[in-house]
Amino acid sequence: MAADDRIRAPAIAEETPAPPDAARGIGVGRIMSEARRYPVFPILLLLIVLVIPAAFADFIAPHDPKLGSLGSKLLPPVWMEGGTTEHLLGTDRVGRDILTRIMYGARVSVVTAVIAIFIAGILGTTMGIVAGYTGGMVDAVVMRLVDISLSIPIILLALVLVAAVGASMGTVITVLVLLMWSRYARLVRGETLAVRVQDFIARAQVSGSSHRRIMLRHVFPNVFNSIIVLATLNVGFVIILESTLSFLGAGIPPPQPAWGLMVADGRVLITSPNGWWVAMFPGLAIMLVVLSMNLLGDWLRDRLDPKQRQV
Amino acid sequence: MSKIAVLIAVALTAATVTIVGCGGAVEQPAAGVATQPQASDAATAAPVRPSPLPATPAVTIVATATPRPTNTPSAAQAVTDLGGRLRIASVPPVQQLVGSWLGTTTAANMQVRPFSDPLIHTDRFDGSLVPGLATSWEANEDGTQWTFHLRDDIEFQHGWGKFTAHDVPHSTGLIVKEDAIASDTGIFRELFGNTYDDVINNVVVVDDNTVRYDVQVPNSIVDFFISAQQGNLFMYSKAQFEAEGLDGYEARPAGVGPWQFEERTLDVNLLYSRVPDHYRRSPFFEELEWVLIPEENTRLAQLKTGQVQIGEISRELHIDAVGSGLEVVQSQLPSLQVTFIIGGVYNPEAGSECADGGERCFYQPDEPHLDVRVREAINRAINRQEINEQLFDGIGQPHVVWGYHPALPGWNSRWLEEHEEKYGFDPERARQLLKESGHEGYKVKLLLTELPGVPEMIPMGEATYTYLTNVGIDVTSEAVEWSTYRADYYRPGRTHGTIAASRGTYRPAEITVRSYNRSGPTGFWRTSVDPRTDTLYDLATRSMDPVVKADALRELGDLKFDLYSEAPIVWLPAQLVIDPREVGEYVWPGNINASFTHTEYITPAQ
Repeated sequence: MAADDRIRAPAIAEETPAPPDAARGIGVGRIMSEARRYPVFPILLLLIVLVIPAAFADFIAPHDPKLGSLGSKLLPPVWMEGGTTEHLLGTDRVGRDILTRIMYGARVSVVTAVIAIFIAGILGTTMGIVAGYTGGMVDAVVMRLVDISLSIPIILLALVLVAAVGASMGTVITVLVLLMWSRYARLVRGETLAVRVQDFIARAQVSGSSHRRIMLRHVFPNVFNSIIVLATLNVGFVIILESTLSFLGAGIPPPQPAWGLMVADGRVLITSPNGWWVAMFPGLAIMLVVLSMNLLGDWLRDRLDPKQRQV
Repeated sequence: MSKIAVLIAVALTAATVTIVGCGGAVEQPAAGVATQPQASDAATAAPVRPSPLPATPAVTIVATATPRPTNTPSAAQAVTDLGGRLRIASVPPVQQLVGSWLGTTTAANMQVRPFSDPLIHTDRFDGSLVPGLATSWEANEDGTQWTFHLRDDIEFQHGWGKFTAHDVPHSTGLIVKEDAIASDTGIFRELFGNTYDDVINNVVVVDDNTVRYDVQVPNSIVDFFISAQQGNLFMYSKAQFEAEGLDGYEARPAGVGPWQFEERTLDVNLLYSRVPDHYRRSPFFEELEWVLIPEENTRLAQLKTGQVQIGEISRELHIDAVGSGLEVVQSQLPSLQVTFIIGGVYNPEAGSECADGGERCFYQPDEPHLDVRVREAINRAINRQEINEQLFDGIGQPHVVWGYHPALPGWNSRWLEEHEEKYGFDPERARQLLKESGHEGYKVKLLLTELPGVPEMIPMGEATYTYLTNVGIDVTSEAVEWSTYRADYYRPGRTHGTIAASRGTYRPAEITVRSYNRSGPTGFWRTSVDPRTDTLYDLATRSMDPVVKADALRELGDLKFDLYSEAPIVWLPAQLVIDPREVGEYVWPGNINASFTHTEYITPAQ
């Protein structure tokens, strides 16, 4: 074991040890009590609306998301007159099943969000740690890049990119990465500034560790919690933005089943008694997912921030 | 904790299982609200009555020197009380302009036509050419000289003096100006000269009331172009230009139309006031205001609340509109034709060189769409009746050859008789044809495009995605702006492996053929199923003999029909929604890409 490993001061929050199950019993009251301690509602929502449909759309979706029949266009949801169990949430303007498209749309949202947040997170974290740890000119340059990034009108950028290279998932992810990396960089740089003046960093430097090793083994673990919280909170933001871009025609191209695109597709009918469901249900899906991601992010922040936990 | 998690998982599984268990004509257009026209109260000849199918417009040969009534009157025109301000809610035009050379025919007809007239007007019932500023006109035998006799009692608005023949070459020259982007800039340059000065030389002022167009290439439908049905030729005051330049036009354009331009606010509105004692028809309202509203539901809301009296509302919302006491009216003509363009169908004579040095331009022998069986399969795969009934509410008329209509020269009744047999929906036959051609499962990119007047183009494309997939074609789709489709696909000859929807208007067949099928610089798409296309086109456009012309067009149509040149879908009328408490009658032909013309004939409800 290296010397610096022995002197590292882990700052990651530890779970409060739970009592053994046998000593606690399992009743409804117990379940409710546990449920109150964890964000069960957001997690359930996420699983039902986002995760399970995204992961198992091929198996659980009742229809093909791209194919429809004009003869079945604008069928209402099952509980309305004229609705059928074959199309629980009704059909759109070309007879495609809305439930199916919401399921496949979840996959688009998840894939887009995960890839964009992952790339932006890696890029921003690296820049932030390097800037905060190194300081000086490097810090100044990175922070100015952050300033530039934050000043870019993102919708305009998306429209320009779409005009130049065409609408696609790649374009959406590029726009999202360009928007988000700076948020990670700014957050991580601030955290790094606080960490680098700690004693254990000085000890690691005295023991001869390289800067790269210190950044990777000592600084990064201490800013990781903040990154996770930001990433969680960003998921909702990314889904909203992806939907916005798709709504504007600068996002996922049709006939891909993206939620924003579905809302755009049905916006003409939003006030019509003969088609309000086309935009309503994907809009509801967006709202529920973003709400639950925000609730989950808040909970994570409370759990992972030692100061919050002590309160 | 772990048992809690297990319980939650069980609950979720149950919910998932629940989800899984859910398992996975053709009509003639309605008459609209228009009452049938009554006997003429002003005409010198018997008025032309609307017919079930539109009469052949006067696009044939030497135009008559016998004036018809300037426009067919109707009983509703006998109103005594003028309305106040007529407000029409419209989608903002692609170009907002007062200079007609700065945009498309559609944009010019909406914004310029209220305050200025073309030389030849169009009848609001059948779209035929009727006297306007020109009382009569004639062409010489070979179609190289067209002479127009003008009225001598017309004054420009805002005190810019009398309208004379000297204003005609000036107004024509504006269309070919260096910065002109009018729909007819190309054809005007071909016919009358490339520059303003060329046009001034080729449009000869014979006397104050006579003007002669010397045409560089013989053309049998110059009067059609002059009438502004396919173009942007409206009369502007030469005197105002000489005094104020183009800035004067921008600030306060003087025209000779039934409305006088008052003001405009970009993206908001355009306002015109009534011209009393107009030579054709003084409006029945004191003012006309185009209210520009991009959002569909807002236009409908304005109609419902009485803030506008007429609105452009898509068919999907017509049920809501009618349920609110509004009425849907439609144009007299089938103003729009809708089709799918089958890409990559170029003649070997078109060459295969890319202008930019890239690869795959024009003729590529490995293109599956060159096989007539593949083109037939595409046509067989599409359920036109379903599209018409489900997307267009059944208002469409059959469309069998792209560019051709039964009321236009060159029609062949055989096409309609054989349409079901050769183009009828038959997925099984389509699969068989693809198999026979060896192109089973070939890849196609369906380009989803949209153009004004047909908001159903995207859903139609998405429905066709299903049709083509169902016969085994490997379809991908891509939404592209029309400008992208133009720049990246059809202009450079790179439509290979694509299918894209398009729409055209009701106009002589040779205009459509020139845009889509003619090779060389005058064509745009240049797709052609047979090398005889160009020869037949030239014969049709240059011959002044109506029989020769019609025969050439018919032979061209035969080629297109028999060889499945395109996949025509439907003819559609233009539609709008009116408030019957405010508006009495609105009759318009709709043959300029469904533009709302003839606003001076709109009557208030009595």
